[in-house]
Amino acid sequence: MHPLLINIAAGASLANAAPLTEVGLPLGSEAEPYSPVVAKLVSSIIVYSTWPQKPSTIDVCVVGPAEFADRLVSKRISGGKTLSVKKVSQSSVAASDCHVAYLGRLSMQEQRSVTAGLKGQPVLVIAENDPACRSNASICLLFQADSLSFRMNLDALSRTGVRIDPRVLRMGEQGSS
Amino acid sequence: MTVRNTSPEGATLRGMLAQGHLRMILFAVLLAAASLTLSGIGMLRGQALENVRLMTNVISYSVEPALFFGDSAAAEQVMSQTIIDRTVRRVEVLDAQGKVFASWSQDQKTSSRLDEAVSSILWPEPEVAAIMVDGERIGTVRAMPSAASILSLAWSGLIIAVCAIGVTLIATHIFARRLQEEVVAPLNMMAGVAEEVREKRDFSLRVAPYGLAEIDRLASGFNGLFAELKRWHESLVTENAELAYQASHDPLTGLGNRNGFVVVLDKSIERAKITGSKLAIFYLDSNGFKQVNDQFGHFVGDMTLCSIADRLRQCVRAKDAVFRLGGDEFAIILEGIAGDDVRQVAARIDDAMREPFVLAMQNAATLSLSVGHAVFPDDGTNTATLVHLADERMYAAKGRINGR
Repeated sequence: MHPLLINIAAGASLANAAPLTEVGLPLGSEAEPYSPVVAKLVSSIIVYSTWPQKPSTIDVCVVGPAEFADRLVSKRISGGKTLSVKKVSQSSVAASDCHVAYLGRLSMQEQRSVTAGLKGQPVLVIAENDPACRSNASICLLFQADSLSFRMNLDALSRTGVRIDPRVLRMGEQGSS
Repeated sequence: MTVRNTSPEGATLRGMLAQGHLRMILFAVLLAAASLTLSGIGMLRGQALENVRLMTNVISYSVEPALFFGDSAAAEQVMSQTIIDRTVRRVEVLDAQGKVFASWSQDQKTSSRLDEAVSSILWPEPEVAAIMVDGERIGTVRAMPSAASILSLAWSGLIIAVCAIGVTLIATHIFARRLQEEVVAPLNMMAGVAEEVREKRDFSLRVAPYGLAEIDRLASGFNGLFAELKRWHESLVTENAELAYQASHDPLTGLGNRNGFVVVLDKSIERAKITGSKLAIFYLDSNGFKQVNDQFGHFVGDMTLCSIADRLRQCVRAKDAVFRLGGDEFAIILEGIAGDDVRQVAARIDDAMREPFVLAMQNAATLSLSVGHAVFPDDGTNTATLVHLADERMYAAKGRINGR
């Protein structure tokens, strides 16, 4: 059974990176254009996500060699939340009290073992290298030529206990229609 | 007195009634339409504003993640699904810097310059709602309300008003006709009676009561006038008859006078001409009446004249006419005579005069009459000839008596 996938075109289109420059991340000075957009997208998703414990500090664990997580740094974001970003090894993810697991360039097996290890924990898994979204990650980033979008595995998401604002889900519905 | 049933040049009662009705109903319809439309527009304006306020709040809520993510395409899609057409003309989502992030505009077909103009009058300021995340303003929703629904109400109001006015015109016509029948019919009836009275000179005609107080008062006025006219007309007729009698009769003896004689003679000759019968006239003059008059006075003279008249009337048939031409001169017309009727009558007169007349103070006197006659058609066929001949013969007879 295929997981229910929702393709969300987060309009952080590379062609008009205006929103990014607005948050003070000028594109021109960047080596590659994706990192700031990924940071923006991940923090936006976190803003619209709710954890059962309702933590004010969100622990973001970057797992494996992430290609576009350079700009994902500890900082205050909207919704009274603060990002706390740390690098975590594959084996220690399950015991690291992460709220968000950002999976870098891992193989499908590695990704699956991570998601399997996090089973039952309220952890939002964001996969960088899973365009088909088969690793049981809740959110899978899609790097396209001119934009960054993401897919959502609602089945996986519902099992984590993390809730994402339905308005964000609606955006995904529109993208898939 | 002229009576007009219809007057093409003057205003008719019906026209006046129709115009009165029309004005009244038009006023009522326009007043109702205007007040309903105005209050409707006022109500709709408030309701539309509430709708727009609600809609901007919904948009600000549902568009928030899209704005936060920076996906204007998603924002516009959310808007197109949320916005109810004809409620707003244009909705803009502005970002924190005030730049247009996403916008939605009404279909070009339904939007018009009129809508724009009316909307800017009804709602000079756009409805604004802030998009907040965690107390931080990340953008603004700005909505311009649409007057489309109000305009359609105004249009339908206008169409209804026009239809109502059309119906009003027809109804006014019908009502006016009905009222006219009720009011004008009795008036026409009265006019008809007045005309009949004038034509037939029958003042006994009366206008029948109709059952409308004002009309009946007018009718009774008419009837009173007719009764007055009738009395006046009757007295006039009586007076005329009296005058005519007086003009042709002698007041002393009750016989016809000279005027009566001329009229009756003319008619008798006409009749004799038609029937081919004979007719005789007698001229008679008293001999010695002057002396009686001088000796015994006018009263006795008058009594004597009355006696002569009585005796003459007894000498002729009932259908024959006796006249006193003036003084002691008399005349007789005998119609339908035959044979020696003339001679017999003359003899009867002579006989009648032989008896003495009783005068005052136990005096009596015999007064003879000189008689001259003429017979139609033997002596002439026209009045003048016959009269002249009879007169001449009467004088000849008088000459014979005087010469004796």
